[in-house]
Amino acid sequence: MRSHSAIPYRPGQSGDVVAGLLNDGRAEAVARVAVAEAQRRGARLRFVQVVDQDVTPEERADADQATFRAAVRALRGYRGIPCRFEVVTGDPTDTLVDLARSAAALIVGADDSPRSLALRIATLVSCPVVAVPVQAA
Amino acid sequence: MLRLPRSTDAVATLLDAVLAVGSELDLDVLLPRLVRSACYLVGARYGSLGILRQDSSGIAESVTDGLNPDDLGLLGVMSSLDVPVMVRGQAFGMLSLADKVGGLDFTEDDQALVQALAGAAGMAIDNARMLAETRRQQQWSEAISEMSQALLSGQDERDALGLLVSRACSAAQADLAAIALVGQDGALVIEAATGVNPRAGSIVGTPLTEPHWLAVLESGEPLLLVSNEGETAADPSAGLLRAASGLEAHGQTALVPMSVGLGHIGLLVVAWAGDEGRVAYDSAEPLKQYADQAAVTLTASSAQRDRARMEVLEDRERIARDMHDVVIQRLFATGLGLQSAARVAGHPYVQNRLAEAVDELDLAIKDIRRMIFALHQPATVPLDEEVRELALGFRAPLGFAPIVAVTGELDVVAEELRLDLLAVIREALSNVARHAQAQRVLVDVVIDRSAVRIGVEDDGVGFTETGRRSGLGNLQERAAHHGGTMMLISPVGVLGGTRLDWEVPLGATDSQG
Repeated sequence: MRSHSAIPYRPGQSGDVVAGLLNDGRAEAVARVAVAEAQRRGARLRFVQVVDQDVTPEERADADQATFRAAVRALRGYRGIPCRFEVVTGDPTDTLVDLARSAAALIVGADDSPRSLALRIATLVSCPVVAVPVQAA
Repeated sequence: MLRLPRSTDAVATLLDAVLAVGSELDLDVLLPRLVRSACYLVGARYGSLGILRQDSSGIAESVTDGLNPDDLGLLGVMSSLDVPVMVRGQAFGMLSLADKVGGLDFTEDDQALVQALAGAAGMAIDNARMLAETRRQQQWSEAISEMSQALLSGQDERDALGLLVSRACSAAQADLAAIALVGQDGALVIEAATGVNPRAGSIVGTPLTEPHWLAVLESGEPLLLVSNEGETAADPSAGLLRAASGLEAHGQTALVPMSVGLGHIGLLVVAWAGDEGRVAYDSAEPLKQYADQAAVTLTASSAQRDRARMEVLEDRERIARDMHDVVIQRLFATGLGLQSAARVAGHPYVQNRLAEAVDELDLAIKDIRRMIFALHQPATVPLDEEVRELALGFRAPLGFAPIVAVTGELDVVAEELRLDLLAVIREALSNVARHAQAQRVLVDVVIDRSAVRIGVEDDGVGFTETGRRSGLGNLQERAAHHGGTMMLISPVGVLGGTRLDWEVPLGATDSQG
């Protein structure tokens, strides 16, 4: 699939689209939505994997691998989307709120709880927050 | 529709402006010129062209001329004029003019003039884009055909891979290009690299073991990593490779799997330094085509080599069969004939001579049997190829590829000597890499009927007594074992340099291997 944006990507011209990934099996669904959003905006796509402080280095590496693969799968068919991959240790809400300050959009997975991550973040940042629902298996 | 102003002066200025914009084919020149011409046309002190994003969600970038009234806090106070620029029926951007000379308002005539100019500019922008795209495609198709020819022409594979990366690097206007291929053991190893930094060559031989490389390889899809100024690398694995080849973390890196059908034989890694993101972005698609074409061609050329090797094997098989079935049988029959002749020969002298002839024939048959056995041995890599391979392995520690010349009858070198010969060259090159600080190394192997001679000459700092003894003692021992000699000459030239001469005779000591 040929996907060329008419507007060439220029670093620093606009905020990034940030995909907040957790190693919870939903990373690929979140990544897919983020890819489409970055493509639409001609923005860079920043995949941020948030891991707990108390994970072992092995668990961290496993999580990184799983989400990286999910991101790469989500990018299939989209060429030339500028990407960045990060693993950040810390609290998911704080970390993502911090990143979203300079972002064009933030994409996270939705959960059912009334105090969901997406809702908490959406009240704290000014950029659009997209909550990706869990796909029915 | 468009209403042209009545003033002929204005029309003449418009025509000038249209010509100025329409004659330019480089967007980086065209767009500023458009803004300046528009300002001039209507007497605006400030002009800007805001280029829209593809989804029209906002301005991607602006080209401005004059002092921005926004900065002066005057916008809204003064006159302004906005005209859209359309390219192929799609909004490309908004041309905004402000602050007409003399504090006047823009007139309807002004608007008509700028609209006419914007219409001409739309066509010029379209032309410029098509031309740029055509040029880019042409460059890539030249790169692809040159690379395919090099790979298929049967020249040395390493040279061909070197050309593959250097053409990718220049066509993508990149600062680093490297190719990593999946070896027989499944490991992904960098086989060739080139770049603006001389250190680029030093990453050759590096295995790419981090899981991210393999994930990209298996996905078969190119990945474009972008890191802005002040940020760490966009991916840790790619960041390490950038650093090793002398590139800063900030910039773009394209990881492009090389696919044949559903399989992937390697990765093409192309990197750019700094903020020039546009060229990396535009290169993603052609790079994938280039990488896939390279993959197909590499597979074809390796099949070609396999076929050539197969033909050699088949040839050997046939010769062995012929010798066994025809030559040996005939010699055997002759021997039997002579033996029966000896029995009826009366004279003891004749009997003796016939017996000797039969013994000779027996020896000949044994020789031929041994040759047939040798022909059935698995084909090993030819000695010259092995020496070249070994020398090129030092490309990374040396910082350049040694020049290798192997001449003579390579087949006469028996296995034991062959191993020593390779060990000597390895030791000599590693000495040069560790101590000589050389810019050039020449490895010269000459084999004739009487001797094997190895010369390793560098243009480095010359030989000092200290530190290099152990390796040299080893070389000396290996020479002595074959009844040969070793000599070290330094300096070789006016400026220094060292030459190692290692020579062993060929003959009785090694004839059995």
